[in-house]
Formats: sequence, C-alpha cells, structure tokens
Amino acid sequence: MKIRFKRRRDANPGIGSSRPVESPKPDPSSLVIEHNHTLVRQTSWAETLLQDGDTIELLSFVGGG
Amino acid sequence: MADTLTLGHRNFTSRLLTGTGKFASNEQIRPMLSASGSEIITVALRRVDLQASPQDNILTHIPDHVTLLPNTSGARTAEEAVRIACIAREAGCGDFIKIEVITDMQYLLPDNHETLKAAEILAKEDFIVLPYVMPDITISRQLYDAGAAAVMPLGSPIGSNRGLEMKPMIQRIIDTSRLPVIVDAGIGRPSQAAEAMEMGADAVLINTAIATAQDPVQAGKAFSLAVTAGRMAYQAGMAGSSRRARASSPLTGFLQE
Repeated sequence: MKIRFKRRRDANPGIGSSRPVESPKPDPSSLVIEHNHTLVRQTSWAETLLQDGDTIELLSFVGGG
Repeated sequence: MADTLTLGHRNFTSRLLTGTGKFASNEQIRPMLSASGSEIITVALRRVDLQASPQDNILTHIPDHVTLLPNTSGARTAEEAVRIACIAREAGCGDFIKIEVITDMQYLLPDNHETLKAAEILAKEDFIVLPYVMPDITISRQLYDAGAAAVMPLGSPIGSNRGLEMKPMIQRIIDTSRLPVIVDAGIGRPSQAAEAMEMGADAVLINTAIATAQDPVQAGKAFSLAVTAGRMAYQAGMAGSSRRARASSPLTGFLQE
C-alpha cells in the first residue's frame, strides 16, 4: 500500500515491506493530521482507515510570533 | 472599573501579548508568561519534517489560562491563511487567529490586500480575527467593516528591534480606529513598548525582544512594567512639550527682591 506524505517522498509505511519506514517518532500529542485534506481529530485516529493512494499531512504547532 | 482589553467576547487584564518563537529553550516560555503576566501567546503551524529530530510539543509549555493565538505565518494568499486558521481551530486552539499574509521575504511586510480578504472570510466564520497589517487608516477602517476584533499595525519589520519606525502612521490609526490597536512587530525594547502605549495603543505584541534576550523571563517582566507604565501615562493625560523652558518654581517672591 502506498501512502503519500504530502511534499515528502512517497513513503511505504512498512505494510508488506521488509523495511519499515524510518520514523522519527514525534510526540503524538503534538501532531495535527490531515487525511485527504480533512483534519482527523486525535480521538478518531484509531478508527481512521487508510487506503491505497491516500494523502496524509503531518502538522504540528511550533514556536512562532 | 477594571481597565481591560476586550478582543471579541473576551476581556484581558494584560495588554502585553507575547510569542513563542525563537526561545533558546521552550522551557523558558512558562516562566516568561508567569513573569510578564501575558495572557495571550502566539504559535505557528508547520508541516512535520520527518527527517528532522522530533521537537517537543510547544503547547505543553503554555498554561491553560493563557489564550492561544495561532498565526497564519507561511501563508502567501488569503486562501492559505484561511486554511491554516481552520486547521488551528479544528485542532483545538480556539477561535483566536492572527492573520499574517506575507509575500515580501526581505522585509516580511504584510500584504494588506490578501489580509483583508482573509479577515472578511474568517470573521464570517466566527473567528476572533487579529490581522497583522502595514499601518494604514484605510485598512484599519476596512478591517472594522469586515468584523475584525483588532488591528495590528507593525512598528517596524519583524524581529528587527527597530521600534516604532511607523510611529506617525500608527498614531493616525490610534486616532481614528474603532478597533483596538495592537502594535505588533519590531518593538525591541521596553521603552519602545511604553512609547506605543503612551501614544494610546491598546496593547503590544512582543516576541523576538523577549525570546532572544539573555534572560527572557526578566525581559518579559520588564516589558510588562513598561506596558503598564505606558498605559497609565496615556490614561493620566500627559501634558505636551514646548521648545522653551517653563519654570516649575514660582517666578515671584525671590529672596533678593
């Protein structure tokens, strides 16, 4: 299955792959996830199913003025 | 009656807004907020760089009583600003949004035209809209008509610490605006913050000058005192200046007379 992480190289999340994606493991509570351009609330992460060709955008709040 | 800053439906005691950018350590943010009494702080939204080492969650450094003010930095158009604002609100950051639309990457000066378009859309979506703008009385009036909660003219370019380069234009906005005026960007010293408050600004937003001070906590306190002093001076109605001396002791009854 191919999942597209927006503006990153397409990443194979490891399903059916001999080499899992090298994930840096950011603090999950800090993540804001857009699935196919729709924000997925953290409470819905577990039940959100990904399909081939889906786009995931990982965002987070950072320091800024 | 308490002297409060009203933005949308919310009242604030502090007239010092702060930002979370550029701190050497995010651990400095909480004590800075405590020392400064700031009740509103900005954050930015960015794509996670999966190649970079993970950052800690900035939101965990902000106490619950402090209102988050997500900015739309990185937006080059009204549409991009609206998207960022909607993501921030859906992510649980509340209704406040600082609209920041910038296409000039040398001076980071805001695009008033796109900012106004974003303000019109976001105000209709019930955001509390705080737009960062080039100082101009026309945009100030247009933002009022658009339903913005305040107007935030820049003092000088972001992070420049140059103070109130736009002073005459900011004064005209203060004199004419029906919205609260928050001087944002470029204020580098507490004396400059006090100057803005003495002019009648309703609040100031300080990030770089606090975050990059050797002691951000002490700097936050210093800005807080300056903002309070400037506000009090404005309310006191300070007398004007003159080119010549005006004696403060009586000019009669001298002993040698």
